[in-house]
Amino acid sequence: MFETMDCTGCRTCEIGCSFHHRGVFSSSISSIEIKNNPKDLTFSIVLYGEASNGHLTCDGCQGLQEPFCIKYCNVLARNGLEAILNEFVRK
Amino acid sequence: MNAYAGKILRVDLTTGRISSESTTKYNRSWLGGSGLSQWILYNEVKPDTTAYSPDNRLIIGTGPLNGTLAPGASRVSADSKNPLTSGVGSSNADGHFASELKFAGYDHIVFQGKARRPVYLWIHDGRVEIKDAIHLWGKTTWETDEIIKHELGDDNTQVLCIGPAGENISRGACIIVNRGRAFGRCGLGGVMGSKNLKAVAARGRGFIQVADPSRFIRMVDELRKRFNDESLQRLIKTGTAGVIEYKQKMCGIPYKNFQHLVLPDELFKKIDIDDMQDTYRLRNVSYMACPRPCSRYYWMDQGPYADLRTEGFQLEALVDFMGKLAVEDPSFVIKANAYCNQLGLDIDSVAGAIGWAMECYQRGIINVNDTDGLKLEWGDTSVILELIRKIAFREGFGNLLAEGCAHAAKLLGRKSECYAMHIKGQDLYEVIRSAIGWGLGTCVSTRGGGHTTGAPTIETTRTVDPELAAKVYGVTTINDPLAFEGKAKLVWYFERLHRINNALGICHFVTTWSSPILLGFPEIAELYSAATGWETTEEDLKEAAARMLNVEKAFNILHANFGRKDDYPPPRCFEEPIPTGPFAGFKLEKKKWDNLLDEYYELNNWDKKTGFPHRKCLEELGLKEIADDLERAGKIGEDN
Repeated sequence: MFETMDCTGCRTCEIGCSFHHRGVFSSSISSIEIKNNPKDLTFSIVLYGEASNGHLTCDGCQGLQEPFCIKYCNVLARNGLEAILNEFVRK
Repeated sequence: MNAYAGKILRVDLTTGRISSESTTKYNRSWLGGSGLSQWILYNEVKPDTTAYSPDNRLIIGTGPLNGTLAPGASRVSADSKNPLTSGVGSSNADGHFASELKFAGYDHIVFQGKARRPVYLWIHDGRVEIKDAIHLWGKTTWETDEIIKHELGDDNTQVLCIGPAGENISRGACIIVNRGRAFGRCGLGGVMGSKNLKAVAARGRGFIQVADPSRFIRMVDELRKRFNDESLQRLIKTGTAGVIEYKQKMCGIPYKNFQHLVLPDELFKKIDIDDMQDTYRLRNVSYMACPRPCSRYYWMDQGPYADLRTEGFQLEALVDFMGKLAVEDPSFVIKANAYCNQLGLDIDSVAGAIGWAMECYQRGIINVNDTDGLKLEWGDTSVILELIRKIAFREGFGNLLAEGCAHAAKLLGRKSECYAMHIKGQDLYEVIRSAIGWGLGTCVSTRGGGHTTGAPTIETTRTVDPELAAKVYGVTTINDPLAFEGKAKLVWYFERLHRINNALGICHFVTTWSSPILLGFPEIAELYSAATGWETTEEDLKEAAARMLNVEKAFNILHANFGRKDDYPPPRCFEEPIPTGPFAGFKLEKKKWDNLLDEYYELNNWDKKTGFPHRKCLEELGLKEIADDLERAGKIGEDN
């Protein structure tokens, strides 16, 4: 799980991710999940290194020029997500 | 089924019976969202049924683009008979509810009846339960959201709910989703309260598929690139409040209940939108598939409202509280907006009723003996907060204000009616006199005012390339708010665009409503065709929208007896010249408005004398039954 100051919580990455994996839109099979913490108004990003509870393993969208979660992220959050994904893939 | 979840959920709260029907029964003609809901309302709610009767329906509706990557596909509609107007009630909110409901297996939820005691509905992966909500009754929307998520044990559950205002059937009560997004207008929170329905919670692990994924994603990718345009970035930085300067100069801002249409210089100088962002903004926030994150979370870490954390205000809150009610402290806007959200009250209704009361107080029509001892001085923040609370709980003087300004003025009498600024019975937010297209769209709106079912915001918020505007909208006067020419056609265009947006589930701000370079009918038709597999043209969409508009029109005629007389601005717009500011001396001429309405009715193929649709118009749209209904009621268009 990654903390981020940039994420706007739109969760578009989730359905971009499911579209990459299965060609459908779904928040519950995506390899990325956005958690909203309504009390302190923050968001956390969960990346699945292995399949869990229906969520598929993140493959970093290997072979694609741009991972789908980043491609569909918005202008404010994209750089932050890219850094997180790079860190995750490196690990 | 492609693009749709495929099922419509039916919940009878009186009997507890839960059933479902296929979306295919409706979606070829009515697309989804509000379009589909209004058709169900027209057919199932009889004209003599009142808004708070158990026989009224409350319909939550998603569209075929919700849950997909289509830009801005995060909108969900709520439709019902409108308790403020007795006509069409339709409201639309952002948030994560729409996609979650579809992932849970349903496109729409149709509520009817009234539960014997407070309940909430829990929908999870095709399973539906009516659950006890006694412990939630009296709770704010924020508390309700938190408790439901906690007891269901899943933070990904999406909740829409009412606060105390809806429970107490305050006429301007709204429904709140994701704590800070509102189905604001049309008093639907009170309809929910009248059914003893506190909340709806949804959680789904399903998926949505589209008919032609590669065609669909190609269009999505092409459209998303458009959002990089420099002209669109200001909205992200400031939200809609960023257009306040343009409004002040070019279209006007209602001040002290529309007595003036400009903020005094001293007050205007206190509004520094960029500084407010720097001081209070915690982060931007947006919802599913949004490429244009224009909302913000605010954290007040100083001042009288320190420690408030909330999703933030848009232009509307600024105009309601600093304009209509003349508050001088910008931070109060964030506080009042949050307080209304917690109690489940529409900010426009609140400011409409309080603005009317403050003007009545100013003119000596009411005094402290009427107001529970409160001195209703303009801009008094503690009085405004107390009135908001009283409205939500229908306490004392708040019980009168909870009716909305139109009903309250009728009840009070004393010639207070001329200060009640409303359209068809619903409190007014929009200026009418100084922006003609915006004013027309507001006045003819079937739901009773509001600027999101026909009014051209672009006329009042920015200057656009006239050539491009002429190409997209078909008019050349978009940069001239005071011009009458072309404005009927402009409203005709946006009445259709807004209906398609509300039917498909996309945000107005990703469309040509906001900028001529964004999604118009051709782009939306391509998305819809690729998603559903049903080849649909721009003209098909416009025809579908006309069908929806005529259904709403017929509902208003049969249920509320609305006609041409109800498409006029409040009388003072014709009587009082604008006293100050850039439009000083300008007065709306009745004759010009008459001509504007003639032109608008003609474009819609409606009777100019009455405003009623002609049989031919209805039959061409496949609405013969509606023509028969109107004819039986003696309210069908005659000339032509």
